[in-house]
Amino acid sequence: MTAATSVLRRQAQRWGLRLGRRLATPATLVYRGIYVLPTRNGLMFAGMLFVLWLTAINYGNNLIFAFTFLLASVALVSILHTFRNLRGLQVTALPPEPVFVGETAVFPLQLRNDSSVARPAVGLELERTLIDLTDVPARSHAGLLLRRPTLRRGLLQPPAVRIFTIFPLGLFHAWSTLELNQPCLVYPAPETGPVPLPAGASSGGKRQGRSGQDDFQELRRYRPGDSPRHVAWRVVARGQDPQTKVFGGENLMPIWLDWNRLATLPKEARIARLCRWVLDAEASGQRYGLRLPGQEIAPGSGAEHRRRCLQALALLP
Amino acid sequence: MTAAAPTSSRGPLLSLPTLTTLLLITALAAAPHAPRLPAWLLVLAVGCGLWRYWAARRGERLPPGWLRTLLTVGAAAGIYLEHGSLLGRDPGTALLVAMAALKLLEMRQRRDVHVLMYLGYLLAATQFLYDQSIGMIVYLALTGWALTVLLMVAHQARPPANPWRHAHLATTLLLQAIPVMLILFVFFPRVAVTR
Repeated sequence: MTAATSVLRRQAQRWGLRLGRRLATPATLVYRGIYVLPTRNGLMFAGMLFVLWLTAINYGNNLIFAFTFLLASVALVSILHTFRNLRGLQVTALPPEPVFVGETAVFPLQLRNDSSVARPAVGLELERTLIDLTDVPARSHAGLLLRRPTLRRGLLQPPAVRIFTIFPLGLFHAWSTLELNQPCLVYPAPETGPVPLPAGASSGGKRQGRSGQDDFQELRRYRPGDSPRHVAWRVVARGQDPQTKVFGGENLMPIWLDWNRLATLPKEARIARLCRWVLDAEASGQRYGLRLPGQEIAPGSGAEHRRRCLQALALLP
Repeated sequence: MTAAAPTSSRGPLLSLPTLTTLLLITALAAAPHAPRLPAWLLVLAVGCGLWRYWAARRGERLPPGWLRTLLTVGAAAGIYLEHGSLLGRDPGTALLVAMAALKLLEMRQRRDVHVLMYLGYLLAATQFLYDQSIGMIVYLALTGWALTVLLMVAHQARPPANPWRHAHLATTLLLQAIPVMLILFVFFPRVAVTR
């Protein structure tokens, strides 16, 4: 049985390659994009029908003939139901959230069902492994998630996946192959360890008649690299987590995170350090700009600015 | 393609209500055979069913493989001694009952559940070798319908908690199948066996 399945599967793959239609998202699963083949259980069911049929012949028993044909017809009719469980389903790849290298990229898929019939047990599979499974209620939508590891910075293209179903009887497997055209932006991994922000702009620097400690603003969680002079030692003495004093004066002067000032480091290490600086500068509420080969991002701050800087770093050639 | 029915699922294969329904429907399919079965096989079958129910209820492990093998060989030997053969109507149905009973103790993968359901269909159909009354036709049609309902639930990688969730669809499926069955019944070639 297993051998027969694998032969069939290989044949299917061959057909798949020949006629294989991949739908690009957003896609409506159409008649010509859906393939149907029996499952292993379907083949087993056929085996059982064969035994019943032989029994019917052997004993000339009309009722067993009828029973056999009824079950065979149920299996045949179920093909249409399996097919219909996918047909007309609208699949959209939603934009994934950017992640840092090493984190898991999550590619969300939205399944929209505009028909008045629910579609139970619609799944996502990758290389014949079940990834996710959901029910799509009538005139509603549901989501499926594809998770992939991230190894390199840049744009991570999701692999082609299959939307499939074996509903209702598990005897037939219907599927559509989909290209998900929403890549995931993978930020570089920030450098770890104590990496102080560039001198002249970060804490402790001298600027225009200010000591840098004039207007105390708030306390924030201590991060490695903070100047010991700004650590709120009184908080530490109370046995709480170390906090760092943040001063309003620091926000006046933008700092430049400059690629060319890191000439001693290899390329990826430079990117890692700049990435860390972007995160640190943003977290400490400073205005910062980023100079990269061939591009410059003017000083600013905020989530959107951070995203722009990280994206520039991620997409460096 | 078989990827569609991944067998690797954590936790119990079937929810307790589904498993209970499965046990009851298997009993339903096997019950009409009971009067013709040797007493020891009846005890074995009922015992396996109760054991399975108890194991599911208490979350106990199923009996080890060697015990199942021993029981299988023992049951086959017993049937052979009883009938002098393993083939033919009476020993065949007895063997089916024994297989279904022992399969109850071996439901590890989804495939095992499927085998059990197929044995259920076979048990139901072979009853026509003994009894073709209208009452039995109705009874076995209902059994077939119930098995189909269960098949809809049992194959799913994440079976719904309620085993009767797709009962309505099973009815539709059977009704839609009837015209096809009639066509097959009339036109499918019969091989004549001269006896």
